[in-house]
Amino acid sequence: MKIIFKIIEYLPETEQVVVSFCRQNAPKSIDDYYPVVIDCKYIDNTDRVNLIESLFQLGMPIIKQQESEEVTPESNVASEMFFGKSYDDFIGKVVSIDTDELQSIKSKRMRRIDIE
Amino acid sequence: MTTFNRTYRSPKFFLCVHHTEEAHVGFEPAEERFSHFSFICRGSGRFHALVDGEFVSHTSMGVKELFPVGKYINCNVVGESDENTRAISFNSWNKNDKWEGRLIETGTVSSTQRYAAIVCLEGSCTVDGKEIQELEYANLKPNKEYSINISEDSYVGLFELC
Repeated sequence: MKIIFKIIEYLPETEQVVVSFCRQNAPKSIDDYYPVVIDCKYIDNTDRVNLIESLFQLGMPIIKQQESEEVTPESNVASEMFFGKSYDDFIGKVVSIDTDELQSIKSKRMRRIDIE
Repeated sequence: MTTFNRTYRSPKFFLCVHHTEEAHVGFEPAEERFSHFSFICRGSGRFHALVDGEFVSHTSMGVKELFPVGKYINCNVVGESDENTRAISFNSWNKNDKWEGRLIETGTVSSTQRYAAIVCLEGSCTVDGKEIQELEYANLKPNKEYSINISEDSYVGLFELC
């Protein structure tokens, strides 16, 4: 997933920036998302890369919120997960998983060598 | 700091492979512990189990040895790994399972238990002519004798569900 931000305005009197965030492939333009105001004291502006990365870190919860509020097409709603494990059992069913959960799983099935 | 953990699942047991490039300290609460044995492939580490309010420490676990840790399966544990350490733990899905485990050598292998498996912890081996690579396993039939040839610098464990 690629994410983007656009600084709309810098407010020197209050040391704040007005920023919009969204996914790069969001269903609408970044200009159509509500901007947020962030105090510059929360931004690491020691260099340009740190500034960009810290702004993205601050924006991630907003982007996740946007994504969770997007409408799920009826045909993309996942089916009940508790069914058989043959491929035939899967046919026609939509299966879902949270990608955050997927990233935390580092598990693979051991290969069994049949010697019996 | 880079640490890498990976779990290898089988129906009766699973292995956790823990690799640290730099020194690492980790805490494992009792409810998340399912380990019966540890095998240190390289590096070094220390193991501190909280038993009846007191830490029991094992400060020299040794490499290339199968170290029994099952008696601490219901204890909170602090584990320390030094840099460039790779450790494999043998775990059961059910805490109440009783497992025996030992490293085996080239020759013959058999088990009288209703379930037993050989696990190649490092390197490779052949059992009755079939090659088993690192982190692969084979189930043994009870009371059947198998011929096993363990490659140089390879380590294979026999694990029996008692």
